[in-house]
Amino acid sequence: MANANPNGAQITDEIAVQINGMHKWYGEFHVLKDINLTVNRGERIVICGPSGSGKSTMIRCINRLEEHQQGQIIVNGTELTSDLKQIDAVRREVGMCFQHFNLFPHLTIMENCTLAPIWVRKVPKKEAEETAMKYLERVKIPEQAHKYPGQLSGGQQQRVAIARSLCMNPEIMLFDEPTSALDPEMISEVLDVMIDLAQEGMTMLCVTHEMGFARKVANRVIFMDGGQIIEQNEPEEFFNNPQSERTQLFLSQILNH
Amino acid sequence: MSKAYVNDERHPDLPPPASTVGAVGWMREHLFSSPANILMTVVSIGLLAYVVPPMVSWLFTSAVWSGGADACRANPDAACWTFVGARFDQFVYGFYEKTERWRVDIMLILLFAGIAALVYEKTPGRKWIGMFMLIGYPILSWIMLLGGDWGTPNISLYNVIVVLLPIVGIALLSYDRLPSARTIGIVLTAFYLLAIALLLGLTAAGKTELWIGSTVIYSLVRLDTIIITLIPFLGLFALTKSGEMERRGTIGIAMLVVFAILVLGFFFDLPAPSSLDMTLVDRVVVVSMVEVPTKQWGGFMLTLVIALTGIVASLPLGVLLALGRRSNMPAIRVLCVVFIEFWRGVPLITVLFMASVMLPLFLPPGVSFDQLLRALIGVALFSAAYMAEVVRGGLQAIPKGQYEGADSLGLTYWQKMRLIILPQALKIVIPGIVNTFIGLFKDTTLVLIIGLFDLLGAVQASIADPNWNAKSVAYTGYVFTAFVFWVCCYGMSQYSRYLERKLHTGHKR
Ligand SMILES: Nc1ncnc2c1ncn2[C@@H]1O[C@H](COP(=O)(O)OP(=O)(O)O)[C@@H](O)[C@H]1O
Ligand SMILES: [Mg+2]
Repeated sequence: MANANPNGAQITDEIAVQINGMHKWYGEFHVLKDINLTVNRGERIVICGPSGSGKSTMIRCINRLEEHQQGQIIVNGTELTSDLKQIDAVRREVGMCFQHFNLFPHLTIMENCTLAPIWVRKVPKKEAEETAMKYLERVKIPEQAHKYPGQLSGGQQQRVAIARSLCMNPEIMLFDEPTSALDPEMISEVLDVMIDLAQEGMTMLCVTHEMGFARKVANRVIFMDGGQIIEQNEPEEFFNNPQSERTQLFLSQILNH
Repeated sequence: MSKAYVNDERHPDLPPPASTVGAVGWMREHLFSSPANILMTVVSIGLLAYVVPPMVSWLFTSAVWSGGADACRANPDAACWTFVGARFDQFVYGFYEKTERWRVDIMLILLFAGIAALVYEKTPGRKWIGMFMLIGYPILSWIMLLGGDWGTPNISLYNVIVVLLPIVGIALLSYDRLPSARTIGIVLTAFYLLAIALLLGLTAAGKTELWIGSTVIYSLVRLDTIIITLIPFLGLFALTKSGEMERRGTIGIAMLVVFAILVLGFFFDLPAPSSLDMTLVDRVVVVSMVEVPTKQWGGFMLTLVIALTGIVASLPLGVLLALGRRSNMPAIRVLCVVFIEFWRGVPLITVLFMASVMLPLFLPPGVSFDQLLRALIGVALFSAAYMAEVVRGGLQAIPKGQYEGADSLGLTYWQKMRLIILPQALKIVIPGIVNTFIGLFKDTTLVLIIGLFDLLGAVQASIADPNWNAKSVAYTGYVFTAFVFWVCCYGMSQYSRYLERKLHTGHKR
């Protein structure tokens, strides 16, 4: 796929995200230590690890919701620096779904979905609405288009959030524990949408503890602890034959309870 | 063992017991639900019985509704409404020129019509009416109320080029979806540069005027003129240069505002633009009316002028200050904090005194500006500082996730604020905003101390009239004033409650 690369690529078109020797601190606290990660286009990566291990911080660095202090992050051929133009360029191509959905409560579902295309991509309103409808149908809630987020269930809201991101036609999708704020019976409806997305070849980075999902769609599972990537492997290998002790402990905790 | 109780049939929905609905139910619940409640009810009824009949008598039944001052002197223990009737014009217009009061009437009618159109949801083109009421109406009011000659002091081809070309260019460039915006921008810039070069060349050649027939094309370009006109050029150039032109909408609007001010400068004869003394036509008078100096403005009209200026100016200023106070840029943050804390720390009376007495001391001699204008600026800045704190409260109540949601979609800072954060933040603080408006509305009465006669001032001046020295006159005047203020403030408060309900898309988790 030809991907426009505005500032002279140092990397090939095949690489969606490249992180080299990245460090991050919150004040004195060293949250992320020497992160190195390459994500190829079309790859689905699941990131897991104990709470507080820096998973959210890491994927939020990819669309610069958090700033890294050392190392290099290149997304879609654009390096993230303090240059606002570059940041906006990256954010246009990277969609994100949050644990708490972060829908805009004062706008209808339709407006939530068309806002960014209209204002950021300058798509005409009518066209934006057609696109939004298409994605709302894909996440199976077209009939809710004129309601407000507060009138929807958690699962529905998360599906809207996914549709909202997709309306920007992103190259990469980030998910930060998209199902952990949901009631159990709603988890699968969101996972179904994500599996669907994965099967269409979207590049995805998901922080999640849904190991079924990981086994089903992930190309690679990454285990983080203490701000470091401890282990990464193909799902089968990762689950059946974890190398590090910490991974084994973590897996035993989440799998056998 | 007995079988556990189960309901195996669907129970029908029954109406609620009679004692909880209807008038009797309501009274039982709200007035007589407990001994303490019964006591309160009885005491309240007693109090009402004690207060209401004399009040009704004073206000209505024994009040003087017709006749002159003598009728009021004869009946000192009742309201003297005939006084209000006799002095009503003064209460509304102050000492505004009698023959010119129709101008005030027109503006008042426009104001109430505008407000009505905005309040009524189904009015077509509400957005445009709103824009007019916010921008056009204040300018029109100033022109209409002040009167005098309004026009451009001078027009030359140069002015036309300098003003119109960039405006057209910027307007075109700001329109995001215009296909060949870049080309147009470059052509306009070239023209503009050429015009400036020509004029500069002529100046250098010592030609101060250039005539074609009897038309002056050009006369004397002054340095300040060039500097002023350089601003739009630089803006235009920046717009054309920036390849992606992402921010050109914003820049374009900013440039248009600068130019609107410059153009208004021509109209208002402000010092700087009038130095563009290049004459094509000697003087174009657009409107000519008898001038009514602001000293003569007064009464309810003045109250409205001050309050509405404060209201219209304080909200946008307050929003900007609140955003500035939360900015990442330390310089802006410090500036806003200093500004806000300065104005919040000073009583309005002091502000008004300083504006009217002390400001002239700092201005160079000969430069003076209108007493009312000074008061207006004082009031606007004062209330902007309060507004800023109210808005900041709203901004702080917006969860971080909203900022992140907007950021993750690639919205710019201003888009994020305008589309996501401010609508929610302002909605939360509607009560606080309206509270500030109401406070401001009532504080307008303080202009009395710098010699401006607002409604209260006009009423007081009338009371002092020896022809009306009846005991009830003063009471009536104050009751009337209180009533007018109450109606306005209560109206605002009710509208704010209505807005809150309307904007509630709620069900927040
Ligand atoms: N804004 C912040 N300021 C300071 N510390 C933070 C902040 N956000 C997260 N942290 C800390 O950074 C660590 C990693 O957080 P996070 O990335 O959210 O972990 P995870 O998502 O893996 O649970 C945690 O110890 C957390 O307390
Ligand atoms: Mg997390």
